[in-house]
Amino acid sequence: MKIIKTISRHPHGSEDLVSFQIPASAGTTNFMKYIPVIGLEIHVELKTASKMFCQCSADYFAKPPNSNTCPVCLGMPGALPVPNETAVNWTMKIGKALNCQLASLSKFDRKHYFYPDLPKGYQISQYVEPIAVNGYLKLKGKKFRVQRVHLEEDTGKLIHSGKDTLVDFNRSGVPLVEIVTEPDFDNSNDVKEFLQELHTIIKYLDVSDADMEKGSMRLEPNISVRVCHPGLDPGSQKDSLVHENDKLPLPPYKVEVKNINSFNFVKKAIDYEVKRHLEILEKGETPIQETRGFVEADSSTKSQRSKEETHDYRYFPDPDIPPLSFSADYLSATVGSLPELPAAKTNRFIKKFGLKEADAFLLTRDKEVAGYFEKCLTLVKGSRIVEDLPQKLANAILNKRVTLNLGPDKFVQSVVELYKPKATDMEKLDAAVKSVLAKNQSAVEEYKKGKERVIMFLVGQVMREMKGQADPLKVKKELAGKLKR
Amino acid sequence: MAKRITLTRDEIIHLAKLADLNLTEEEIKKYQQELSQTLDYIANLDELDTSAVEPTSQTTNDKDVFFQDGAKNDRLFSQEKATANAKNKKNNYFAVNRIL
Repeated sequence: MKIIKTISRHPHGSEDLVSFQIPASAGTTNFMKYIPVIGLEIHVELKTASKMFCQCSADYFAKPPNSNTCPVCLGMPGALPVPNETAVNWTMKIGKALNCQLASLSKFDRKHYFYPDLPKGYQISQYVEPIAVNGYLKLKGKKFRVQRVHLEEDTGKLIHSGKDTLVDFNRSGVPLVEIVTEPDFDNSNDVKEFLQELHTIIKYLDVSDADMEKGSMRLEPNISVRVCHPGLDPGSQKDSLVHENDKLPLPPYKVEVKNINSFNFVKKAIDYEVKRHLEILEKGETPIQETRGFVEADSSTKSQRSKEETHDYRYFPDPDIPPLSFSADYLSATVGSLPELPAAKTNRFIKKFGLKEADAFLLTRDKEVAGYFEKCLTLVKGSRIVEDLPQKLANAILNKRVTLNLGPDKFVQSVVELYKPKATDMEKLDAAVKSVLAKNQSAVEEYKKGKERVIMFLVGQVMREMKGQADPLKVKKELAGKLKR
Repeated sequence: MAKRITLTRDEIIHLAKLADLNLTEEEIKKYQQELSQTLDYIANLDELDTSAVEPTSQTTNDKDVFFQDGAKNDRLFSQEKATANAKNKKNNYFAVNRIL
């Protein structure tokens, strides 16, 4: 076996060496550096009440096939599509949350191709004037650029069965937001974190269920691997790589893995592809540019169709839909104040309540949970019974020590009860300690041999005997005293 | 006088593919001629001076036409009606030859 190293570059820090093992038979002898180049396309279905260009319900889930269509979303000749303003506004919100510039002029274009899920022979989408462009999302000091956020219509659903492909147009015309990143990723972990953050942001904005299982958020990584020639000075290469990937020419191919519906599957698909590309590149060949599908069973990917030519979609402005113009006033009225986003909330929880970073992060992954936490805190304002109550509340929520089914007031009471210093009946404690030590001779032996951690087990036993009515610190002290003797 | 345009055989085949048409050898030849003539005819427009005309993609001068979100069933098709024109259907689905 031969080991190939790829270098994962961090803009503000270290290099991670990622090793890939490939068969020795592949062998050239040159030591080459390979760097994955990954971009993302993410589709998000909006949860508007009606579809994008007609007033059929956007809720198509589990309805009988072809029971949720009209002349517009079935693409009947002469039907007139009219844009749903809420869908446009929500797309702006997503754009703003991703730090994009919002367009003052926008329009819809027709994207032409033939596929059975597309009734008109074209999809209404946006090409030259998307609703939002040039954004970014920062994660742990790294900046990942968002190229564009645009709005389009979803297609029908295909079911492949025996010799047939069956088409259900209930989903046809549901508003679909496409988010396209620059190829700024060089490893699957960053991709997964980016997607999880994006998912959380979209849930916060309350514009989509973003339910992966139902397909209301679909992920498509574009993957290629850049060969860095050994002749080049690594120092200068590193400088130009620092999240300015576009200064280097992109690899002469890319592989798109279609419609993945889980963050883990995206990670697996990327890891599989990078390894596959490395094996091909090591033979001195170039992987074929193509579209592949993810195969869950063995975490691999499978070729779907070769892009033997570049797509010729013949975009042109949809003459049925007048152009859109958005004044500064309009934009500030519709997207002026976004809710506090997860990253900001995490920081505030750390600064304001002194939470540990990891806990603040976990608490803010779900807007409801974060809200519950804050509601609890407002109920105990001024209370000084329990030291560091915010952190204790956070622990109680995250470790599910107290059920969240309680109302916040009851929850706070239970947490205070749980953590408040217990009045300890010293006589009872003395008896309990003696009894526990007598019953647990082997633990006592272990402790005396130097395995001091055993004491926590004994504390637990005493607490049990005391039915929880004791201050664990006092119990520990008492036990330690007796054990030392 | 408009310049003469001649579409190549490959261009016709490419266009036919984009339009999802199967052309016979004769049709390819025929369209190579006829489509070229059509383009010639349209190229007459090049004689007009449009340097002072703003490009547009519509003729109504409308803008910002929206509807307010809200589902309505006014124009909803029944399953039967939705699939009425289908060449092949199966259990209320449109059916085509398997594509994947």
